[in-house]
Amino acid sequence: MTRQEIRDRILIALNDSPTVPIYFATSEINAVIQEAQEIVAEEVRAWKRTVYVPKREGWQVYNLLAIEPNCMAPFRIWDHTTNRRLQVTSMHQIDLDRQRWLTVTGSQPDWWYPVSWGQFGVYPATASGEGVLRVDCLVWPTALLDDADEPESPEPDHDDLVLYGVYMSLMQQFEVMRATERFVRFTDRWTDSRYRNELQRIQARYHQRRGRRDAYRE
Amino acid sequence: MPTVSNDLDTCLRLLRDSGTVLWTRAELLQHYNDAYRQLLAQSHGVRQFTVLPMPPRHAYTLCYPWERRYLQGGTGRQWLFTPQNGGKQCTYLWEIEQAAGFESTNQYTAVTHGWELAYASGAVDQDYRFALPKNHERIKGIWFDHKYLTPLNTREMDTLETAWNRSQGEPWFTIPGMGDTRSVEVYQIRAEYTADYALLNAAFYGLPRTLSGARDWNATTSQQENGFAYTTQGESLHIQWRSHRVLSGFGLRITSDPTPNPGGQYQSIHVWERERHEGATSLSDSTTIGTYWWEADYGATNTREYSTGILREITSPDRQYLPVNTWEAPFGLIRDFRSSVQNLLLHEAIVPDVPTLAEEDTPAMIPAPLQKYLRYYVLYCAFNRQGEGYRPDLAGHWLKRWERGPQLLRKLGDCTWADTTHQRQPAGKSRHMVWDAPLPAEYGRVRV
Repeated sequence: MTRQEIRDRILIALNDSPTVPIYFATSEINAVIQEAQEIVAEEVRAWKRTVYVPKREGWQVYNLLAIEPNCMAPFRIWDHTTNRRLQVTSMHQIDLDRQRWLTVTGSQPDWWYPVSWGQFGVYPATASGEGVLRVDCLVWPTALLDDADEPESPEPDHDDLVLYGVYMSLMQQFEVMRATERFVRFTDRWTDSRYRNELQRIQARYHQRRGRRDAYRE
Repeated sequence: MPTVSNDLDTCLRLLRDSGTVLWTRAELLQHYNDAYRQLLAQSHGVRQFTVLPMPPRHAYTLCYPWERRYLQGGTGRQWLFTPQNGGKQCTYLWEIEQAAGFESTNQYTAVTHGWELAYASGAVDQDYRFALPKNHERIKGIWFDHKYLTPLNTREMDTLETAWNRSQGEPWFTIPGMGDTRSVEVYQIRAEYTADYALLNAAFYGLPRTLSGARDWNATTSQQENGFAYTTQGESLHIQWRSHRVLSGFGLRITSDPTPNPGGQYQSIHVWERERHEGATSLSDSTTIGTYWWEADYGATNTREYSTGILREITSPDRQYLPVNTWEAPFGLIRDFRSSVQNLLLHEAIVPDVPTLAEEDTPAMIPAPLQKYLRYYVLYCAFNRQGEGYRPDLAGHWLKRWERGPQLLRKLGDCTWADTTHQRQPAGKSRHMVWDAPLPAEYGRVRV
């Protein structure tokens, strides 16, 4: 659905004119649709982007917002030069293993660690600064540009945005019960959206034949 | 990123009070700042590196606790000793004995600032305490000279039954200490004074112009050539006038002024010209004077690369020069240089500092999509206020929406949370009997 179609559905559900809305301004509904997209992105974690970052000589700490403005969190960092995935660790863990690791520069980074919500570090830093890091990250969706623009999520998830728009508008009318009912339905759809957007993880199991009762013990 | 004013407009719309009859903008702004502070404090998701120079430095030394009122936002340390009645403050411990009427015994040197430790050989009775920044929330890690300092408890060190708090050497552990809030103590004591970067020519305010020191510094810029050369200051002013602007780019002056030069009427191109005008009896040989940067290849000594504009980045193959945000005005320029070599490096969670957000500001410490949670907190506070407009059902709902914000930012603070490591589950001990291969039905049974 386009943004206009989503907005029309919200206004129709509120018994307002979709062409000339009286009770709700178009810009307000558009802002609510964007807010709904952000919430779905935070809970469903389906929006992903890949960004390539040149390795800088001597650098350990990289700024996430400089890499991807809408970045929520990286979930994979791949060294394109060595074809190796950087392993997740923490500063505390590196401290347990190595002294003065902050001053170490090496050939290629092997680990990455969190610094803050907008920064991550790689260890060891490269002395030469050659090559790129591929950063796969979860992101918030970009704002819809105009009424013909469509959300990135699959079509079934667009109904979530309608639900949220109706919910927020009912909250504005102080209709708490009706709004809460819509909100519960909105949150119930997240599980479905999660499964729609990623494969179920396969859990490793140890398979074993069931034992047979020993006949001698009868 | 919408401004605080945009968010307050949205809140007033959801409150159905765009005319600010029941809730004023000032009241909502207060709740907004409370939400901003609580979001960061509860999540401690915003963290940064801070360098604390050694020995500890404080802006003020206090004699009495009431003097804290006048710190003007700076850091203060009460180095004096408080005796039993609290009415006086003593510089030396022997004064406490004397004030009580007892024979005083010799004590260690007293200091009133941390740098004085270098002159007291470090033998003092005062704690080695560092003041933490005002926006400090909690410590995530401390390193001295990039070596991790172990957090310990005072009781653990007291079991040594030694004067551990006066022991000098390389720091290796840290304790919360007995100081004020926003302070930490580090031991062993390091009395040597470490100066990392010093601002020279402080009378010339504005931008740092050059960097110098034990390391080699080279300035690079994308703009390397000058657009024109000029000889007098008058030409420079003429070229700068917009209505007469005929040349663009950077200008290189190829002359120098003799001393004295009354009226500024004389400019010399070669050094011997200036010396002759100054009345020197022996003249120096001149060097090749160029007007454009490429003439350096032909021996010109006065042409040079331009380092223009403000400092954007410092790079080195041996270390990272990490820019750290001050989160408060004035923005844009580098205000402070610090080095973690032979100093304390602090990784800390921070909260917003005063001054608080105004309506034209944006809450830049949090990701833009999390701004909505600040609005939810404002709505919760507004509907929860006693009196007209009190709606506990709406307040309860917005409170639940707000509570998701700190949870989310706490998760985002560890930006590696999405990169999970999958492991096969261990096989474990089997609870079942081992399957025996079935024998054919006609096989003779064996009774043991």
